[in-house]
Amino acid sequence: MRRVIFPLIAALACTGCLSVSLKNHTERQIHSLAKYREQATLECLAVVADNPANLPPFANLADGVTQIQDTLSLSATTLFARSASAFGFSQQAIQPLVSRSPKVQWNLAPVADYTQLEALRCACRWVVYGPDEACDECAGILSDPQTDLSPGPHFGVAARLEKLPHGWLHISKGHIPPVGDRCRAHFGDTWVWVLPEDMPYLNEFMLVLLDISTLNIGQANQNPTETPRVLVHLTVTQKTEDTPHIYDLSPASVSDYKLANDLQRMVKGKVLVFGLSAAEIQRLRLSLNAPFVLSEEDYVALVEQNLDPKPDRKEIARVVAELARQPQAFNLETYRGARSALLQAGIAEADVKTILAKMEDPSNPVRIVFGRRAEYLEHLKKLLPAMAAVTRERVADVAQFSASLYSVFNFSRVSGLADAGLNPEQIRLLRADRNLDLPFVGTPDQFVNKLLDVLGENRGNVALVSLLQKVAAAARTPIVFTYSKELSFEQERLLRPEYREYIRDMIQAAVPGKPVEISWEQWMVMTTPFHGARSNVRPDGSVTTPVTTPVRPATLRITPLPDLLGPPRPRMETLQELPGP
Amino acid sequence: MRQATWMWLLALLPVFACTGCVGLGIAPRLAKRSIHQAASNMELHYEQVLYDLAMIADEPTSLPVYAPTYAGTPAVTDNAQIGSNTVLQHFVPANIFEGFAQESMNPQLQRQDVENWSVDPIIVPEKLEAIRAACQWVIYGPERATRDHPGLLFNPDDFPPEDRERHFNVADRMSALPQSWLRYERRLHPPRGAAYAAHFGDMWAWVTPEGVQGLADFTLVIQNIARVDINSLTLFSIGMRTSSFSFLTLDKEQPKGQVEATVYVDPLLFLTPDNPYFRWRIEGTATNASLRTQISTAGLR
Repeated sequence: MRRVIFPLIAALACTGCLSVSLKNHTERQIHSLAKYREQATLECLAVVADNPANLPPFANLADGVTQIQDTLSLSATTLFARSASAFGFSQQAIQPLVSRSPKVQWNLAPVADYTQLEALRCACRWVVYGPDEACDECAGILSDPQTDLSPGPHFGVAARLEKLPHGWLHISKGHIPPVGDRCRAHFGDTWVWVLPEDMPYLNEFMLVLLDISTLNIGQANQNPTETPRVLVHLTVTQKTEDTPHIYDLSPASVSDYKLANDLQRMVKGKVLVFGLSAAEIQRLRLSLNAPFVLSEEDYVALVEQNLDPKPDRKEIARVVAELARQPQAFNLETYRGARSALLQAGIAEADVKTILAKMEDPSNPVRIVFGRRAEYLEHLKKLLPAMAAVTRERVADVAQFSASLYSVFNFSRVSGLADAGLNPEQIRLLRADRNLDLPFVGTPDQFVNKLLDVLGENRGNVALVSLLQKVAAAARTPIVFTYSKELSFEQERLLRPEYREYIRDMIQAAVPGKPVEISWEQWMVMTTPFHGARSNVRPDGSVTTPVTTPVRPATLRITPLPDLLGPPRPRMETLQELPGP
Repeated sequence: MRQATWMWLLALLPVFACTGCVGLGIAPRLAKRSIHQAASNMELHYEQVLYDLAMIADEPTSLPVYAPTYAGTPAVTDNAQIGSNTVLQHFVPANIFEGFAQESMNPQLQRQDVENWSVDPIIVPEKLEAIRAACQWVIYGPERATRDHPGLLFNPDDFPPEDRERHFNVADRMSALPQSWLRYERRLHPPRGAAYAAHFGDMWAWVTPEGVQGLADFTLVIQNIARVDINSLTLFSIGMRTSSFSFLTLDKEQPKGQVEATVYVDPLLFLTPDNPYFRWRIEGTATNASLRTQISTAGLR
């Protein structure tokens, strides 16, 4: 019986040493690192010694797991059987099982980047064949990236390799080296080995391979094998007017009535209405009766050629060009004297009432239209279906305006009216007017006049006009087209090292207040395109977003000393006021 | 009859042995295993450090090995089952064995204890050199330690900004280590009276109970070196930053509008890289250590 119980007790007791066993196995696994590194290094050397073209198979040990599993199992079988003479207990069997399963594992991180593989091969060639045979077409791959400005990767291990003496590695073909199992490796029939007294050099060469294989290539913002780059950020700013626009001066775009009667330009802060002569209109129709894609200056010059010789013909040509430019601007509200303008255009009184009622209807959301004249006529057709086509044409003429002359005024967004100098009653009147809740399109003077109307005043009240001009300035927003007035093109470029000094000299030689004398063509010669950092495939499958804008260091922000110290303490006037010890 | 009783008792023994009523419940067992495993971690560190010291004492240029433990998973699994087998038989022609023949009962109990450590070996050369230099400091003195890599163990702030090397800033701690806490010699047998000992070949390194303070302090130094992120800026000398500098240039021949150039310059207006050069390294390429140990415990790899 004791024979059965004792093994059970022993099995139970053995489970207590699991942690000790785990510790011992972990230690042995960690100790195996040295052997692995040594053998891996010698294998690489043997592979390259066998054939200098071979790529060395180097892999780092990324991580490891040591695991011990103890199993204690007890099973019993009790048998009751029937025999010829009796029935009852027959036999009892017990099967104890004790097992221990240690498991150790390493995960390998093989070197896969092509530049690293190339550098590993060059480093092995340096040792096997000498420095002169280290590189074929990759000169400088082992040199320091901070000093070697040549293109291509530089791993910065040449200084380590130069410390290694010649002849510490022994190579033989065909026969097994005279050393023992330690410090030797072979690839095919090529053997390499290291004598015990040369082990320090093998250790140093291991560091070279580790140095190459652990550089963060392809995942960092800065590739450590690249020479530090000097970048220049070039911003080319061009005015939009320099870019081509579509100009259409055909009758379908700008009517004869508009050209003859309703051109507008700003003279001394006032909008002046004028018209072209019939001869001028005829010449324009003959020469510019189709859409042109030209820059503003070129089109203005074309218009100018067809105008009568007058001192201000260039300004007039610019007004005509602005009306012809697509998209055109249309608006019709009472602020512009629309009623009188519509009447002057020959529209019947009844129709004018209908048109103004529609235009000022708050339920009509479309007040300003940017587009072609034909589109605006379609809009009017939906708004005024009963109106004659010729009448709608005339309404479009009155509604078309030069966008550069007008601004949008949002009175509802202006705050601080009291601070501007308005009294409470004036503020109440202005805030109570529902019409001022809508954006107002016009000149600043027209907006001031509208405010004066609401207040029941006139321009004779100079002080009030001055206050309202401030309000108008606060409410004003220039009419924004769908494109910017300026275009800004930016690019990062890599400065060639040989031009750094030249650029510095040019900057220092520049006349204060004047641009540095570097032309665009010179920039293109002195720089190369910047492609950003090359990114490698990531083992976790995540995606690296390519960027061509370098990640720059954040600006250092220093908290001012007074903020750190807090408010000053009150000055102690007498010794008695000082705190005691 | 007496023998049959013993048989019954034996059959029931495993049933009782693994129940909570005798203090062997699964949860207390796991707690006990966790405490044992955690306690072994400290010894693991000590013995790794002593192994490296023995290695450097054997050959000062050896490359030490060090693999910090990042995660561990103790697990206890119990399994209890019982099976029964009944045999009824029928004979043609019938005889006295007709009917019930035998009945067997098979209770089975199983307990599995699993423990594992996940380790990430040090592979970056600067850390290996720093650990080697620290071991050389202990064995051969500071002069030998700083001969090959003069600044490796010192404070990065003591070096000029142009210096791009890593500095682990452990020299002060090394200087503060107690005297003569480590013993080492070539011998065939383990030393007597050693609190902790390790050997590399026939070179033994050990500490007596009085030397444990020095061993613990030195282990902190090695852990400091091993666990710092190799790309941490605390290892580098940080100098004055560069400044962005913008200026206008114009093309007189073919006007392209206004060209504004922005470069980075140093205080002397020399054009410099916008980011200083660092040898960024990959470290810890492995998967998440905690996840790794759990997968291993589950037997999935």
